Amino acid sequence: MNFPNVDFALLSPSLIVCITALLTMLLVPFLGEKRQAVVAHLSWIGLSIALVAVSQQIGKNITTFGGMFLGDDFSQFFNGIFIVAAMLTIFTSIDYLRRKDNEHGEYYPLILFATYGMMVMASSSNLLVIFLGLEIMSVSLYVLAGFARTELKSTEAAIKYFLLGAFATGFTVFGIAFVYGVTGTFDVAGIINAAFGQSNVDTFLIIGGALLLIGFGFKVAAVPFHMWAPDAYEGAPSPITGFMSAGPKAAAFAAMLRIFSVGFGGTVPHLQTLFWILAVVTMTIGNIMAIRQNSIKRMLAFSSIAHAGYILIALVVGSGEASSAAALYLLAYALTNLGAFMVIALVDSGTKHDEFTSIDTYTGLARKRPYLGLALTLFMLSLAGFPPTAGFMGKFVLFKAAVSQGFYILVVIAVLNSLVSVFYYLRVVVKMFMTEPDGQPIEIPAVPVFLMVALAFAVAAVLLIGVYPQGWFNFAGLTILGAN
Amino acid sequence: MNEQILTIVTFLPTFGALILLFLREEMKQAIKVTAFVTALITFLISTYLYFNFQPDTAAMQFVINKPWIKALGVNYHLGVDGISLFLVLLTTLLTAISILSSWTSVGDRVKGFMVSLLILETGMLGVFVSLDLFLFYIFWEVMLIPMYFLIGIWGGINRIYAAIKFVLFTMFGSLLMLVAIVALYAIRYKATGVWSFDLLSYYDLRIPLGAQNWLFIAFALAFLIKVPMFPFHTWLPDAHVQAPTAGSVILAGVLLKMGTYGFLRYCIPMFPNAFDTFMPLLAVLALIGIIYGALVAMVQKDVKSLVAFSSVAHMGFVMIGMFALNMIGLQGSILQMLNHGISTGALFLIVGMIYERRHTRLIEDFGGIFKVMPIFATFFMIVTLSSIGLPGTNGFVGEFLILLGTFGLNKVYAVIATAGIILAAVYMLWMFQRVMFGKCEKPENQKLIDINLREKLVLLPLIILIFWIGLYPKPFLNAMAPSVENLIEQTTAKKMHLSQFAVPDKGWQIATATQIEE
Repeated sequence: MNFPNVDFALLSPSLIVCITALLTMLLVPFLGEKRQAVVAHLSWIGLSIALVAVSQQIGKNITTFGGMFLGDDFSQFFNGIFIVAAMLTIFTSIDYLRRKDNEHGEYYPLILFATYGMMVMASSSNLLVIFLGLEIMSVSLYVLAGFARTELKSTEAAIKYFLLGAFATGFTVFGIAFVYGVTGTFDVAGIINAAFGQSNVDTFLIIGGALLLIGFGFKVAAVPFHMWAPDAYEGAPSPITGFMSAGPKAAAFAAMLRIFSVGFGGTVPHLQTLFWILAVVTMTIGNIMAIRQNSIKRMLAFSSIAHAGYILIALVVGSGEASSAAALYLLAYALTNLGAFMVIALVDSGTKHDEFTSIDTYTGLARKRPYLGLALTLFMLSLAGFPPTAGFMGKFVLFKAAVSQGFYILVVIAVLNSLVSVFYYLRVVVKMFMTEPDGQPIEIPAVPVFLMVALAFAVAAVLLIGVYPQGWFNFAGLTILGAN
Repeated sequence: MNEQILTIVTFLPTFGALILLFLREEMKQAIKVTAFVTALITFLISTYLYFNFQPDTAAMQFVINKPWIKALGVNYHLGVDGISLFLVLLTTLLTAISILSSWTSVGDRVKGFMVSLLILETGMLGVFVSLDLFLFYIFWEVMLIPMYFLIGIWGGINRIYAAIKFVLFTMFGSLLMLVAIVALYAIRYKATGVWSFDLLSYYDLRIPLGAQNWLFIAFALAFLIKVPMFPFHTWLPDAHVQAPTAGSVILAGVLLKMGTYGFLRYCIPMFPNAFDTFMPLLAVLALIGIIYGALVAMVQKDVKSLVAFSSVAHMGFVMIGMFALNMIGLQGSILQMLNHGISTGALFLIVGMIYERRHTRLIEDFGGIFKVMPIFATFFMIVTLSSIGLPGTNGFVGEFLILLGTFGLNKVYAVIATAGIILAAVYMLWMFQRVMFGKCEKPENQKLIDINLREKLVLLPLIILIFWIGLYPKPFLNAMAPSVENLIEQTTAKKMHLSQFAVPDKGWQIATATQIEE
């Protein structure tokens, strides 16, 4: 038997993450109950080595495993997002778990496995491999969502996430089957070959595409497949909620951009109309529902739905420029949301149970902790898309990509939506800065060292991408899809 | 020095704000002194612009142009001409004055207050000096947040409502403007093959008429809300009444000018044909604003909301003078921007001083203050007369030029606008009479203490300017003349050029945009 020539250097980032996960998983039982944090430290060290490995692969644009595993800059960019998201989540979690009396070492390997799954997803244009990555990621996340096992809400989150997720997976597999049936290959390139330039695209190919859309629409929480998101976001431990909104969303979009922008791109006009409607409905419903929320985690869940709607614009446009804009947007969104959830996790960890997530909890926060208030304000402004933050840059490049292809109405709908979003993001700022608590204000713990580092990183990154994005453009410009 | 000066002026306040972050909240005196010194130095440095300004050229001066985000074609491009020079000076002066005026009235969270004011100053200066559309938009939005905090944290009872209304109204306009900026950017790319935001190059861009109309609407809406022009003015009274004194001064003195400045710098030169189309409608709105603002001001019970509504009327004047698009009207319009900043700024300061003493602003709570506070009353009198436009004060020069210019445009407009001046005299003098004259019956009023040295210093520069512009406006008019002339010539030429080649009106016909051949 001939074993294919495998480029291990190319695989190194994901392999390092995977091996770290396995090793730390084995280590957990050997550590005493008090020393579970060791796993956390090993995990982030492993991740930082993986990050270095990623940086070594930039610009190489090669493939391995007979083209099933891609090492283009698009995947390296997303690998970077995933690894940074996982590291920031770990930094946030160390103290959070201790305060919540829920310090179990398995938590960290699960994050690493999820990260590994995402990296696989973003690094392939083979539907089956993408599916493998998707499942590795999802299963780990189901467990993580229910990690606070003594909390009813967390269990509820995990069960809802799992049941609906499994259901959506069925659609994905079904879609892959249809596409395979028509094209005879799992590779995205097969779709182009089957559909490009034909006046009558095979109906089953369109059905396959629509089914895939449902499956991935669930993962990115696009309306009407979003029902799980608010409950899962609310019930999951706060650091995990941040992770869920940053990593898996980026991974699912990376896969979608490959499948739909490259595969179906320009070949199936029906799908473009579908995406147009999906984008508008998703952003509008997400934003309108977010206004009514009283829990900050639920609010950010709906906000995350709305942001999925903005990113769907890139899929409507379908140009290479749009996908690199989406990549930058996802980076900005991931950093911002992770930052916001760092503050939320800190406030939340002031109590053993999960009652500290109402927006009212933040009343008068800025008077006692002005810098914490400023940090959360910065993240809210970035989510709302105010310059000079990363969120603005992301929106700007996305809108530019859409306008230069003539999608004016879509962009106008999107900006009116972000006007609505300003209202609820500023509500948090109003609570923190402009109101005084009625009774005894809640106790917010001091910022632990690791969280401090992570928070400083997030603030700096959000500002840096907003003020001087040149470096990111150089990188994101390389990630334009379709070259492969 | 000439290249760096604008950067220094613009970012010095932010630098001061950063220093403030290192001071502890308890060191209130140190915080105030640092903030004031920063603002004062910024003002002093900005006078360098005035003394080294070449009044005989329309070209941008003190220009700095460096690539910033190459991938998008964004440049760090700053410069001033006769139109923006005085607005820059007004901004630096009013910021310093408003910091001084908040010395005792703001006691809570002083650090945050001063930091907000200083960052706001950077945002405002940036709007006036940036010559790159992207840079302009960033500054335009940046100044929103500190103002939001100023109203929302240090404002009156309804401050949160007012702050959010202010942000949402402004955002509505500016987000549509963002879409228009991106669309223009794409149009320019299709015409020239280069991605660039350089404002001056957009002046030469021939935009098809249909596209011009849409883009004009988007830009104009953002500016009209900011000015604010009837019927987009409803955020203004709320924001003004709720804002702390310093916030009101900056809001009236500088923020509103961004709208009128935006018209001059962006709307008119970039979309001259669309401006021609919409001008009659806008002129009517400006006239309605003049009359409506005056009538509503007349029935206000609160002095501060009276001044706020008078702003609506005054800004209507600025707009109508601009719409005439002739030398006299435009010069009057720009001068009136300054005048409004000075007079209304001073009025808000005066209202703030009396509020600090009495904790009420209702007209009926006063009466006979003249005898108790004679110095204060004198200042108040001068400012009131300047706001009305008495000859010898700044208001007269501005309004007279505007009326002359408007007369050249349309005689009916001029007649209606003149009626606005009469109404202004009615509501201002009537208010002054009720507050200042009559018998001093209320015991609280009899014990009022006249203004102290700090308060005199706050008002003095503005009083000097009132008389300076009123008696000898020549340096101001001379400095702005070449730029205004150039603006008119450029706009007329572009308008002619476009209507000559009469690009067929097919809505969004981007591909037909071309660069005007030199």
